[in-house]
Amino acid sequence: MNKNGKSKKNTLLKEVKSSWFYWMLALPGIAVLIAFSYIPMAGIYLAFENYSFKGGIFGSEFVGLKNFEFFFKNIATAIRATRNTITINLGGIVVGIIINVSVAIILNEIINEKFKRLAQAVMLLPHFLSWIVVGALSEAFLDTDGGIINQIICFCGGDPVSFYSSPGYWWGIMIFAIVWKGFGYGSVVYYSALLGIDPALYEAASIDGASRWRKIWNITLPLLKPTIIIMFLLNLGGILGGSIDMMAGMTKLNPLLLETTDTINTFLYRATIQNSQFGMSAAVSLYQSVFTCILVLGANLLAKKVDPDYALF
Amino acid sequence: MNNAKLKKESKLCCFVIIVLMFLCVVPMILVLSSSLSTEEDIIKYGYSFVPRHFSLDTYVFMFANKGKMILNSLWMSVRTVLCGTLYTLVITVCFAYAVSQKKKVFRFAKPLSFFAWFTTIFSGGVLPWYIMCSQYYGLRNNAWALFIPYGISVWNMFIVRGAFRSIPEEIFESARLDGASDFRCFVSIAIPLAKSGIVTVALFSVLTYWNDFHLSQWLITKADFYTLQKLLYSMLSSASFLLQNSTGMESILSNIQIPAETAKMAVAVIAIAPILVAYPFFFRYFVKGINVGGIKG
Repeated sequence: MNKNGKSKKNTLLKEVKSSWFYWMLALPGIAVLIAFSYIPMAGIYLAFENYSFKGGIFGSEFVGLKNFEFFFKNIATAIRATRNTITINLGGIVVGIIINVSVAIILNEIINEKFKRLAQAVMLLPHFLSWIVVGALSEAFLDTDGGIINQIICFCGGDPVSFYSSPGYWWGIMIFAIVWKGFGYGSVVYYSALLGIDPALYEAASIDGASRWRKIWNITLPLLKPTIIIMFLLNLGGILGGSIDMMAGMTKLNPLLLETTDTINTFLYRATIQNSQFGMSAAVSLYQSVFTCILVLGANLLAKKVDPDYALF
Repeated sequence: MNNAKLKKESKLCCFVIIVLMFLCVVPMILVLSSSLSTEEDIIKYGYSFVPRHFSLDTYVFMFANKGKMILNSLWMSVRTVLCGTLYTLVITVCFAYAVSQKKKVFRFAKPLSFFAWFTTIFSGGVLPWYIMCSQYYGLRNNAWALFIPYGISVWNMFIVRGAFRSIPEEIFESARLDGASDFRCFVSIAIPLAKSGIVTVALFSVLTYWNDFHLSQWLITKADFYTLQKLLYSMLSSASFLLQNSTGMESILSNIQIPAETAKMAVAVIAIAPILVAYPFFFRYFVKGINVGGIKG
């Protein structure tokens, strides 16, 4: 027994000795992950206490499920935030996939290589702009007095629409903005998947007399399916999240638009920074994390069931 | 084959793509043109794609009256990008090299990969993160808060890990036979051979820091630490922001009309310009990075 333990200790020592260099390399990364990801995970405990600045995360008064009671009392706001988050994100993903795949296929039909590269470069450009800049761009279009869209409406004889005070338009506007910003990136991904398709397949189909549409429908799309599913899964994880940049940039957290633009993240921001309702936002935060995790794992399980090759992990 | 039909269809495809390209560029032209217009024109006629009266007044006004504010935020942005990229890159590359090792070299490579990957499927949410940063780590209203929390991006780490893994094992073996140490293998062999992956990730992180708003939104409240993005956001969200932060009283006293609309557009132009200038150089790295990171993860 004693001897066994000693030899185990020796191997451990040897192990550390032989790989200390790699431990040193990994150490800063481990530290950052612990500090900014794992400790906040433990901080979910916050949802069960009455947070005070003095007590901090781990020393405040434990109140059990009281925060959730508060959360359910405000259930209308929580449901509204969830509804908006899912509508905007899911809309962006679904419309995005349709547009991205179409653009990739169209790009693939073009013969001129130089033009193709130029097109990719230009279409990728919006991806590199920040949401705040996109917000500035959209203001030039949506502004009530001088925006381009209202100029067109007026030119056609209509009455100007005040976009920044009518929430009804904002699901559409947000989805359009998400797709506009992301379609260059998405089409590059699908386009490189298209390049991997064996040209012999198309040649064989041509000999059999297949039309262009038929080839797209029966060869291109089925072969793109794994990529589409993986992209969908990757994006599904963010469906309850989405960056605060996006909503803040586009709407400036405008109170008039909250009906359709209050997402879980903006709700958290308002509850925390503006109203200091820590317990409540901790409860929302926990709910968001748990559902995101379930969504990712569930989507992956589903993919595995359809075809093990589709799964991410 | 019906060649004429094929050509016609290809032309149609070109046309669709040209329309899409146009859609991407038009908003930027609009912003540039607005920043070069006079404020009266914007108020009177609205935004236009070509300035009615070309003028540099907005830029002159901005740098004459708000120069300190703009240069300060520009400096904040540049400094964040430089420090942040260096910081992220060192952590990411080192970590990626450690977890790229074979099991017989570093037994914990796989568990550490999992340790990093797990943070992408489950997170504690933004609130505990905010409290830890602002109250325990002291990352609030200082220059550190603008980059320290972004130490490691897991997806970027996987891109670099992939680059390290694609180096043939024999190169390391022969180097070890020649007596190279682990450190030597890392610095003189692995890093130069994984250069294109590392450059891609470096560019990704430059853009992340330049465009970042999340950190300044949560952790910065003092105007001294505003980055360009936060400054633009403040100008967009409150029309009176320029008045509040006047550097001298004279601009209010002399009752100069502040070009609020064109000033926003001018700051947006300042935020876009560096990306546009550098774009031709980094484009090919990005396409490579998207192909590696987009699918294989």
